[in-house]
Amino acid sequence: MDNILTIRDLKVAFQVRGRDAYALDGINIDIPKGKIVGIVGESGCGKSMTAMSIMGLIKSPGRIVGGSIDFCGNELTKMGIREYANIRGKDISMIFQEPMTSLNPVVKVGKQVMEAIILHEHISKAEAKQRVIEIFNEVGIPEAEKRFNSYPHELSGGLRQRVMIGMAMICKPKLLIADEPTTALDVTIEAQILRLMKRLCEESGTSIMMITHNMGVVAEICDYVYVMYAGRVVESAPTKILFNETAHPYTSGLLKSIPTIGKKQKRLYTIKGNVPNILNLPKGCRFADRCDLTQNICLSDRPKDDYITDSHMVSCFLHKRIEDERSCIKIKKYS
Amino acid sequence: MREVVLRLKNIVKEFPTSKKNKKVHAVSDISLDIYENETLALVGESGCGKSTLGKCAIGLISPDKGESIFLGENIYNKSGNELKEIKKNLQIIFQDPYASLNPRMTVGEIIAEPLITHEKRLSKAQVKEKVLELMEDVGIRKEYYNRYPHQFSGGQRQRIGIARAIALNPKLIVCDEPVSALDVSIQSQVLNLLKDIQEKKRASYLFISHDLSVVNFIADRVCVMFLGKVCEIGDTDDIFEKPLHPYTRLLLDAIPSIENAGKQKEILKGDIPSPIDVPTGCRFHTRCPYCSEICRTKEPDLRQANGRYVACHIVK
Repeated sequence: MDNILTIRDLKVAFQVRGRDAYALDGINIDIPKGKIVGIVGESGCGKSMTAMSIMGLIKSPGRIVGGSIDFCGNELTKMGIREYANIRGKDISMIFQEPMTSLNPVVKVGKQVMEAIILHEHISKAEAKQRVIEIFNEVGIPEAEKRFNSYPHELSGGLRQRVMIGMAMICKPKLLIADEPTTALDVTIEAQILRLMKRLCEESGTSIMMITHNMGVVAEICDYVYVMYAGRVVESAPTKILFNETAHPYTSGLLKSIPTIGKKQKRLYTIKGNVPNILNLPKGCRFADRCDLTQNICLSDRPKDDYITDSHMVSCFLHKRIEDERSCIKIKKYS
Repeated sequence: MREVVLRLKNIVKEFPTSKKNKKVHAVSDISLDIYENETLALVGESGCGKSTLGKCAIGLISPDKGESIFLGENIYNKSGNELKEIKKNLQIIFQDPYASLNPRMTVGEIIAEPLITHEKRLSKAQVKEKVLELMEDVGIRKEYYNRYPHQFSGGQRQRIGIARAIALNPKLIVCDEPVSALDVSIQSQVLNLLKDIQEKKRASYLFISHDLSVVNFIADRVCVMFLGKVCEIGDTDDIFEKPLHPYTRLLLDAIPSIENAGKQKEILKGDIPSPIDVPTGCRFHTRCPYCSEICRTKEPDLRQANGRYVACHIVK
């Protein structure tokens, strides 16, 4: 499959009190063309940091200390500011969680969206305006021509997010990074936005990297999922396989702790403890002290990324693939 | 029949806007009973008035009209010591554990405050003993007595907020989106804790949330709100199994879930109407797929249907 983005062994560190704290510690992510890839995990696991690395927006004291990000043959980690400016907003664009804070409150939304296209394509203002109205129609903004002259505060949260998506999609990017795009929205509006994103992805062939903490959102629209924990990818698989053949104890813990509608539960499953501090990470597996199935090896050694099938990666000692048989064995079965 | 702890009668709350003749209709004529030792959930989208109603219930804001009757007495008619005595029994847990704890007070001081205000007969040592007991109840280690809120994670802070709310053994706790600022793994810990505490302290919860899966887990009864009005009230199981009001059904349908992924579903069109210019007739009619003539003109009353209350012309 054609990948438009390949991240290999990416490491991002922050200098804290003279020491390097790794916010991302060797992650590998592939984003195939025209697919929606979900990145899930709890706060502080490095989801947004991954997005920021791709966009080249890591701010000091943070820096990329190793690994590579290949975007359609361009190495992003070594790219200069000017080259980056040509890619950002054109080939890779991004939408954020809170559309109110990412739009300029004193500029009409139409003009803000126009900015993106005028910057990247040499077209006249009239043409640009036409394109903006077209994209507004496409993302489902009613009365697009009237809305062109609205200010962000005059729009509802759902409409603002549609404006953001319009802005991100107007240059027909190859990759759209969506950082919790529906978290601030109500469920009925969330459903509308998710459907819109899926449709745009199918129609334009844009790949979407969907950062979220909501497993429901992942199940709804993602083709492929990466589960992150404390700066590492702990499991990745096609969505169905991840939910049906969950391998990593963290993923299964996360899934079990979500209350399910239509199921009467006396108590919810809980993952004990808290997410470790990245300044003080355990020596072995980072999940070891919260895991129900910890063995001695988990405390002393770092698990490697093991592909238990060709598309299912898990970083856990409970699983091992025997190369010559090309099959996976679970060392210990758990539920 | 179980005892009613708090009865809300015809609560109306409107907020002024910058325009003289326009008002935000936050809560429009809502009546509710909250029974002893039950969890009643208020659900709905942003701006539907759930938090306003919760705050009216315990007298944090006073409504324009209506009564909140706690054990037979309208709390809005009370003042001074009488009101203080009532308020002991009505507590609240807020959404944002970062904003609801005073950053300059230690955990011990935060949890002790309600005790110092209301239980004047307790000596300092007794207060401390009680605080430590409460910390144990909510799962905060006793060694942290002198720590400040910023030294805790979000989940731990919410536990501190819970300890403060249960300090006086209240009859009713309003939980205003208590887990929506927390990560899933922490959310489940806090939800379990709330359940345990209810069992132990026999308090009632008015649980405000927009997350229906959380509500399904914790609530005995659910009240679905839309634009300041009640759409449907009934037992949690009934409502989740067979929602009657079209809004309830579409709300349940809209939740992205692992179980229903990929299923074709009806998606609610349009935005939530503004609570300033509320639609005529049924407030939901602008988004309702079953809207008929009567819905546009006549506001439906809340009436009994299949063992619960529904406000819809269509539901038979």
